[in-house]
Amino acid sequence: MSSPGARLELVVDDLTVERGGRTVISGLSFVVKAGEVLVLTGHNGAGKTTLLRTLAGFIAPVRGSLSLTGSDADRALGEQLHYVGHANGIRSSLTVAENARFWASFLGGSSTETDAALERFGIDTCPPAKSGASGSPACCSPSALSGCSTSRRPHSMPPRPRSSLA
Amino acid sequence: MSPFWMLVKRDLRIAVREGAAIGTVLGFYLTVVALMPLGLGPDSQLLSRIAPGVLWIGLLLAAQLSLGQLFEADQDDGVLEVLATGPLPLELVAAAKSFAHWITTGIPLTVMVPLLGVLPVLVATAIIGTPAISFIGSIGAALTLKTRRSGVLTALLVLPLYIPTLIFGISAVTAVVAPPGNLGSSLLILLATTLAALALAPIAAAAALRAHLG
Repeated sequence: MSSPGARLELVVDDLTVERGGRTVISGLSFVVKAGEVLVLTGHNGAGKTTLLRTLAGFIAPVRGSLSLTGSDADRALGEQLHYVGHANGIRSSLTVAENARFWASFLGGSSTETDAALERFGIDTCPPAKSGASGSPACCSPSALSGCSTSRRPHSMPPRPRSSLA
Repeated sequence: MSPFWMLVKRDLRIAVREGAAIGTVLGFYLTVVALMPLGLGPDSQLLSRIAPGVLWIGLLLAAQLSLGQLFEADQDDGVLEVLATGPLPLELVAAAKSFAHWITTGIPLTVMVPLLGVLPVLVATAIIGTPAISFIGSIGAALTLKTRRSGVLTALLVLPLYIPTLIFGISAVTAVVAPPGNLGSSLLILLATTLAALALAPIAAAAALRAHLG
């Protein structure tokens, strides 16, 4: 994805997260450097989505710290990561292009980059209106990803099977 | 354009594309206003006494028809999560959506009121009071975010919060229809209630949304 900060590092230190009274993550530490991909694997309920949601800022950890070294200190961690969730973030009554442009400008990107990205992923010709979600999954996921590439966020965290990242 | 207005514009565009809500709201209000005298009989004294209440309750019910689902579509699409990690504080996200909701329900209702041959004071109270309905309703919508078929629950949850708006809206209209009454102070208190709702409701709604997200 577009990376304005080449020396960014995601540092997680001694992270402990509880959900519903149960300790889901305990004492987790890792570092992800710029250009690296970290793949989490584990059975259902292992805490993969919990970790991602904690990084995004939805869940407050009980203990431990998360930080993005080399980044804008004014913005929260969740604002500088791009959480690509299970859903697409696409509204089906808007066209794919309208969805992508909204996200890009809302999140601080530029519209020329957006149009270029839409073309690069081959979805600038996606059928308009009401087809934002009825387009094939191949149409939908690139839209979510083009939102990633056009907004200035250095990290992307999609919680989906590795196969659909291809 | 700031993110706040981008979000308002997006919600308006979606409302126009998806269409149904405005017609439902206006149709509902029209039905209420038209059926009341038919159902209650031709006693014009009775009707003029209860008219302010009926007209205002109709406004309230119509305006909040679509309110329970204010955040639901965005929650289902995963849009809410991206909004929550965006540059706009969640309070302003809630405010933007409430504002867009008011534009698509409160304003059409206010415009329709004079067309029904109803009183100008009702228009004034509608313009002042309907924003409060949209904003207060967002609290209920946020609280019931992940509850299926939550329409009635939303209404019940926030009903007590609508009461000041209702009381002062009706009292303003009554002051004109069945004097004596204090039109000026009713309108001012109505305005104060709305301003309080504009300021406080987004905070409550955002807190409820955060509880759901985490």
